[in-house]
Amino acid sequence: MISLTLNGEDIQLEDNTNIEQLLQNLSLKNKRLAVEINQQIVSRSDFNTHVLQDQDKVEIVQAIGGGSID
Amino acid sequence: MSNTSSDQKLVIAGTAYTSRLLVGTGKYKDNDETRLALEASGAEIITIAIRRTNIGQNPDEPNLLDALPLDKYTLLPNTAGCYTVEDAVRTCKLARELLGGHKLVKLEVLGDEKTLFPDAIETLKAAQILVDDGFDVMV
Repeated sequence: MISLTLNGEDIQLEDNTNIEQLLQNLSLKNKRLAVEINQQIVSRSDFNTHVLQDQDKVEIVQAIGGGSID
Repeated sequence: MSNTSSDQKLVIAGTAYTSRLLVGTGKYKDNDETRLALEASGAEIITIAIRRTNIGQNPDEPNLLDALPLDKYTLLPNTAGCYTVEDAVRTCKLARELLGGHKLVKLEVLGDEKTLFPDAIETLKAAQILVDDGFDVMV
């Protein structure tokens, strides 16, 4: 198992989990979102090859309504 | 006298717009209300924000981008809520990734939590970084 931070929460994953598998586990596969690992954006085309590492900091973001301070 | 007739197009980053109204997408009750309000406004440019996805709470929650006819609008990601150059630049880069290479952004680096006035110096620094990276920046 590996331990990492996902959107500020500590989680554990099986070894050799890639981003696509993580998104599938979260029921977020094929959603419009962007993923950042350790402050580096990962292209969608690399989701199925980028393997998550122990202590990674993962951020998953999406577009929401906005335009000023909420 | 300059031509101020209403048929004069507004051109931003090479795209001509009929409407000069920019509309936000926050504060609405739901995506349906957002869509109807945007239709009624006639606006062609709409602002959006980039935020963390809620993990595990409601994965089937309708996504704003899925709810709007995106071919009708120019999306304008904005950096509201960013207090540092790094955070503003990061938000714009995430927006570009999220929107498939989209370059137009609305930038501000906030300077004061009470008044929400932007910090002009920091905003300029962020703008320089973004322009150098190929973004079209509105401030």
